[in-house]
Amino acid sequence: MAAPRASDELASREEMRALCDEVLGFSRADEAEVTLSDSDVTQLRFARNAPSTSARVRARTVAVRSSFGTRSATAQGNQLDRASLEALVRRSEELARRSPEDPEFVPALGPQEYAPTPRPDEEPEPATLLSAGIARVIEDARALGLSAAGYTECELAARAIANSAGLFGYHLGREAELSATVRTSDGKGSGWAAGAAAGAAGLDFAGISRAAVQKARDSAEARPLASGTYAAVLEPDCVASLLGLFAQGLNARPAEEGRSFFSRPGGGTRLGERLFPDWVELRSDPSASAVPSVPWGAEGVPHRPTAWIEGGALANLYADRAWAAKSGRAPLAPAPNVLVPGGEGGVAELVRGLERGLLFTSFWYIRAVDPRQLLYTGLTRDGVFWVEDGEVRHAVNNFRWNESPVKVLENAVARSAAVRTGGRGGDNRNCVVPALRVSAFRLTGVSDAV
Amino acid sequence: MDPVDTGAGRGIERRALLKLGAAGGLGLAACVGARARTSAPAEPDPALRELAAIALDEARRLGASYADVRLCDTRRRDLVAREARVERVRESEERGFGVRVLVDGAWGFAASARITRDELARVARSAVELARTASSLRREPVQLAPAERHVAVWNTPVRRDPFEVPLDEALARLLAINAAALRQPGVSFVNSSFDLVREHKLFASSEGSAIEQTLVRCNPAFTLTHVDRAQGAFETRDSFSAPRGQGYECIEDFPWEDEVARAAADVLEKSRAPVVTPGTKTLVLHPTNLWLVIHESIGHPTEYDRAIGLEANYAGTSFLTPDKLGSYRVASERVTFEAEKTAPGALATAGYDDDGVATRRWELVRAGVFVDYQVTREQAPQLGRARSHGCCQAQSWRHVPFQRMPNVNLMPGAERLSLDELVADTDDGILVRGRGSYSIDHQRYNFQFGGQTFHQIKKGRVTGMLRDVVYQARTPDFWRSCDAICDASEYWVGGSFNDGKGEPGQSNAVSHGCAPARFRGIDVLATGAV
Repeated sequence: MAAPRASDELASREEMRALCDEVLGFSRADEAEVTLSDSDVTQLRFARNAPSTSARVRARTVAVRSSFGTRSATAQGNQLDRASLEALVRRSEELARRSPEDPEFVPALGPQEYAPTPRPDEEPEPATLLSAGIARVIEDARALGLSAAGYTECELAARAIANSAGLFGYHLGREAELSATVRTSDGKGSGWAAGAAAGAAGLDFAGISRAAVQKARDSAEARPLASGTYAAVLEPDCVASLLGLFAQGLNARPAEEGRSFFSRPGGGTRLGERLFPDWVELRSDPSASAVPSVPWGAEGVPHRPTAWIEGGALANLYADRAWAAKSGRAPLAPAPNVLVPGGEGGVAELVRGLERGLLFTSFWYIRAVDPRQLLYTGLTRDGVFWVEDGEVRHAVNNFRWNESPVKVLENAVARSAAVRTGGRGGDNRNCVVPALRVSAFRLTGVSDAV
Repeated sequence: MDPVDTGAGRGIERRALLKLGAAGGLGLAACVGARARTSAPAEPDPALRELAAIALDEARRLGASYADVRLCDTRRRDLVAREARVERVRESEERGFGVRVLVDGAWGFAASARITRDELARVARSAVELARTASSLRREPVQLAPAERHVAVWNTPVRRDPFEVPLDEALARLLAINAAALRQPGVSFVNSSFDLVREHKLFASSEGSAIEQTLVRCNPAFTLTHVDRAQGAFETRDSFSAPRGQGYECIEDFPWEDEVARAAADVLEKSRAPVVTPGTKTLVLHPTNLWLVIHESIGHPTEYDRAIGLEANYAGTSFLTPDKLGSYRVASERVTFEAEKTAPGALATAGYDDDGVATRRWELVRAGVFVDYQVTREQAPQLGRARSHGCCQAQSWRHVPFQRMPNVNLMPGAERLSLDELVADTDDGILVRGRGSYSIDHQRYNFQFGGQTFHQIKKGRVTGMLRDVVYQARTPDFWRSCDAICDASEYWVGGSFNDGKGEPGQSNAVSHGCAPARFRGIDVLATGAV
């Protein structure tokens, strides 16, 4: 069956620019900014060895921010005909006029040069590729008497930003993801694997299926193990989950206001402070070939290659334009991706160096517990294994943990090569990180969940 | 195709407009939102029904055994302030439609924001093609429980539509909350927000149902922060306000000044409070804390799609497996959980779900025994039930409808028992109020919750505050340890404005009512002691 085709192609740079010009042309405000997105996404879900729901969605959004003096407001819509666009501009102006003066108002950013990002390769209809891919995952599980569930999607999205000060940016990107959970028929074993790529053709359906099947079978006879503090190997998805949260927290304003882990007692921030071992680096780069991103953040502030942790020291905190102006620094947008340089080898090599401890496949339901120490809680899921003398011995039960990414990096003693991760719900698909071996990881309870 | 009247007749500009959706869009798209502002008419809008019929006819023509279409128009107003500054004034309006079809026993779904006659037919075709692709991999055909045909209009009863409230009036109220907070000693920062939503939709199915609904909800909240720069320490206290399925009146009626004063006193006391001594303790959980435990440990595991593995890859499965239905003791005898989508003012309340099924109430746990799940039309036959519970919901026009949680409530105790009396009856324990950190495993066994305030109970009296408290438990052990529930006079309804589930993730709004309850032998951890 031929896959359905989109009604038309996504907006090109020229078309987006024309639309932005049209929107700005309607403006009667002192300043106006328009952001546009146009996306085409194909989504396939499966469970119990069968497809469950599939969807093809074309979505567009347009948001207009208008300012009169220092009064500003934003109106967002998804109808792009001329009359709707004009009505949207008028609405944002009406809201702006009724908004109070903003003591932190900063004028619109002028033209910027954005980092080049690779244009997505031409690719055939994603529905066909994705459907064939999940058929394979389902068949791999079914042939072994296992049950597969999962999700795959491919999204092509065009984005643009422009303002009345002459700024314009356009980005076309494609991202695809796959995650699969394979469970044994008795419910005693569960394995998971995920990946992300620059298109449906780049997804490794066979590899992810194989990994999930293997974890499901290996985890089926879990033995009980008490909670406590253990040495451990964290697979890359675990590391990405923690470091993604760490990167989100690198905000200058709360740090300078004294309400962040990055605040220095007595005032100021911990910028420059050595927090981690020398080898620890955390960077972001919109042009990173494995995980390219939209090259601008809020208000069009360019994403540039940035070191957040360098030589184990805190090297940068992000700041929006208002806080940057107030605190006398350059604006810096939050990290669009998380890049942590790895070493050699893979998870197997890290396990070989572990005398006694645990191997974690993935983490689940991570929530902040104490922002003063960047303490999070969460659970292990879909494969926890006991390691002795460098060999995986057997599966053990799941755990609740209370731990901080800061402690994890402090306690890291070895790392694998860095890989692009997928994550649950695509959470970690903008990360390229290694697996880590840590000398201590704090487990505070046992979970009966499989 | 409808006539084009964009007024932009030049080269690339015009081409871009055409390509991005100008063609005939305005007239029909405007019609989707037109009636949201009027008082409830008796019959669904004929113009919307006519549009829906285009997609339904096309789906049937192409062989769909069932089809439905939702034409949606959702407005959202998002107001955010900190101290004396309004940080964000943002209003959005999204219009679009989604078409869901069953072909050869498999689902297909497609959606578009371009509300034109051609697009309605094209999207129906796209959904049919996806369903055909999926059917080649499916072994068991989807079967739907019978449903009554409804032609109806239902609106959230509101005294004041939040979108009729002048913006400056709403912003003045937000800034007044902040000003009141900054007048209190010890308040270093205050963040506040109003999140206001009005969802208007027409549901029409190939079985003849046509249902027009307008659902309104509001989420007001604030957080106070106390900072001790010298010590490098800080504490926060979130408001004990709750999101409601009501109009702006739920913001007008809330005693903001009192709550600000209480929160300010709490945050200062918390910053000076001793860290809890970890151990096994008795907890008295206030409804402002307990509602979220109900949501996570009872609401989610009684979702039938989880129990049979449909959410195994993300949200997870459930410890309440079908073999336990009707016999498994999940809680003590005094514990009964009711599900409903009918309580006035609750977030999941609606007249009908996105299967077009009239909403109702039923029991999930009766006197401690697990007796029922939450099901949709598709799931009812799988569970051997004759009809759906009306639990099918999609976040928006572009999301696939699937099983979502109704309001799930812990029934108050039948015997007279106030919170004061419950505390007086407790020798040694901790009274926990407010929503704090929350996390639960993927089968809903092991959970960990924090809170906003933690008061010691000693010999029947509330004494000083503790800090850095979280509690961990295993769901059935926790609910079996419940030995007291206050009466209906203490009943309070909390809720989640954005409950996530599904892939791609969808958000749902849901309320949970309960009275204070006591739990014995719960593990308490001190998070400050790491």
